[in-house]
Amino acid sequence: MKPSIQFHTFIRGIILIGYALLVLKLFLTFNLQNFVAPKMHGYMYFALGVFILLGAIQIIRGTSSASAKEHHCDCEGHELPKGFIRSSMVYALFIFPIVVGFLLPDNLLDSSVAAKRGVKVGNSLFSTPPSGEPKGLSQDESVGESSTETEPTLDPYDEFPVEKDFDKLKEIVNKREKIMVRDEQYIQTLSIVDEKLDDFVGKEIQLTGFVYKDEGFAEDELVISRFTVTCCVADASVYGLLARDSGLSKLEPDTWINVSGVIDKVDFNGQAMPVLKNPVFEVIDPPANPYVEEFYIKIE
Amino acid sequence: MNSLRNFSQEMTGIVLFMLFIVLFLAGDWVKDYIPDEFLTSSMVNVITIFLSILLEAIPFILIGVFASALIQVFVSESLLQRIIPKRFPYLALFPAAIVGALLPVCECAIVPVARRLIKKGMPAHLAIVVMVTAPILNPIVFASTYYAFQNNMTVVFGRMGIALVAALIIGALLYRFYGKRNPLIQKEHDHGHHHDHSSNKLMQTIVHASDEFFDMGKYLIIGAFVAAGFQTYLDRELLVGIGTNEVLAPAVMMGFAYIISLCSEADAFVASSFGSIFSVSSILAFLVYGPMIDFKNTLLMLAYFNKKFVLIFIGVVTIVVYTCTLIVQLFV
Repeated sequence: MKPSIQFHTFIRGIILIGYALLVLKLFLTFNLQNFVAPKMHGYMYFALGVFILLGAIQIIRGTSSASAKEHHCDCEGHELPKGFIRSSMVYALFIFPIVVGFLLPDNLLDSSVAAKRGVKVGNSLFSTPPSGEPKGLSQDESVGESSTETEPTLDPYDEFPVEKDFDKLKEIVNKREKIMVRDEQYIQTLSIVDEKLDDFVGKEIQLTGFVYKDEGFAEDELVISRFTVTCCVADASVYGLLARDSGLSKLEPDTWINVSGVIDKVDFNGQAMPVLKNPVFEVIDPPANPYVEEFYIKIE
Repeated sequence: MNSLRNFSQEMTGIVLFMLFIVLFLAGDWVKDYIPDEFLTSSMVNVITIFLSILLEAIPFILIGVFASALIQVFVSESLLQRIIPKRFPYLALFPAAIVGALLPVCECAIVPVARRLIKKGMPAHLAIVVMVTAPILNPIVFASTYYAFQNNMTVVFGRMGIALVAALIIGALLYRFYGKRNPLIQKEHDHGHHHDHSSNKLMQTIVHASDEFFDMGKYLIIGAFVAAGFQTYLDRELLVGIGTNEVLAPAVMMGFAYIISLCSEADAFVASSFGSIFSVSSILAFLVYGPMIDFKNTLLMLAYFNKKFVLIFIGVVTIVVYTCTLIVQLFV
């Protein structure tokens, strides 16, 4: 049975509508951000519109008997799949993403992905030394003895201003007694702290993230981390802040926490690195947008 | 017999449509009935990354398709003939690189554009120069590289510089090896008739766009899936061990760029997470090679170009980029 050109047009139209429905559903359920970074959503609206338009036209062409052949233009080198089995396979290939897209559990990348990618802490990629030996962290010297004086508390994030300009943000972070790492400026804030670590030792810092533990970590160590997504989840990388606390480290990996603690400095493989100590924390639900944005200033 | 065939074909379409509607409305309910064995966390991660690559690439493929449709309508063969200096195939590389730099499209979108340019009569080696420069020499990519490597201007300008030089060499070598032959897949019934049912130019564009989407889509889907597999199962810490080797590291990073198939707008941020471990030259190898050719793009190219050309192209790009980064290494 050889499918007619009209059938191809018809089925393609329906597949296009299928993609439109998938994108629409992802928009409606706010799950799109689990796949594509919010700043790319404009393009997704464009794709949605194009899918609906193309799909509708193809279906109309595929069902109205006369017009199909007229407009089909095979001088362009578009090849229709030949034969029944071949076309079924090709269309199955197109249907597959739609079906799994609808059936996929609301999934967030978890720490198993983080483990494969390494976690970026400050300016260094945090990964187990190839030898597997937990080194570095055991030889740290605690610097901020005075830090115990500060009693960390959990405060609402909206007390801390959002500042798009990196230099102004730097000023604010420098001035404030307590640094709130807001999701809007997660990486910026952390890199400010990392850059001039000595100035911040002993200060209080509060942030939200999921628990990540590496095989090379000591008992009481973990990283409070976030995935950052530039365009799509494929380019996700993990940023975080090392924490040391026996209470915190009892938490399961991938638990989301809101945590406040005091910044201290450790030496990790020869580099100074911030570490969170003396924390208070609460276990929370994953935030509406689990991913944070890259340190990326738009040029307009 | 014919009516039976029509009936069964229509039914197929309707059943498919119903399937989509049911999934749209009740997908969350159906989800609960999927046995857990299918949903191991690594499988779910593969599918998440797969869908994310796919969803992210689709708008850009569509943009590329429409851009190519615009070229089809507004750039005539004779205009191209006049612009391109036919007698100086090597000199023409420079304006081609400028055209590439001016086109604000990234790697997925550029493949249909390059193919259209060849169809319009642009020599293949020039279209390829446009294809490899456009995804790197472009303001958005420059900006993202700039912000990812703020404290390392060598990477930012090195990326742009190497991309330009490598693109010119790639174009020259391709001309040398492949000459003026047509690298596009020739289909059997290639009757070059011009059909001016001009009453319906818009309609034609739309139909083309859909056909082109399906032409490239199948390669994109396979490419995205394989890349997602690599993304999930490849342990990046393996790379860290090799990062310090000066000769091997650029090659490894190029291989890595090839298989993970990132968008050129985003790869700088991934590269920056390797910053402290890898040498500048291997970071540059990653940033230049990935946008020029990667797994996803190889498959996209195979949709239009013949296999031999794609192989030669990959070989030339690999050797040129690798050599360039090794030379840069001597100076950094």
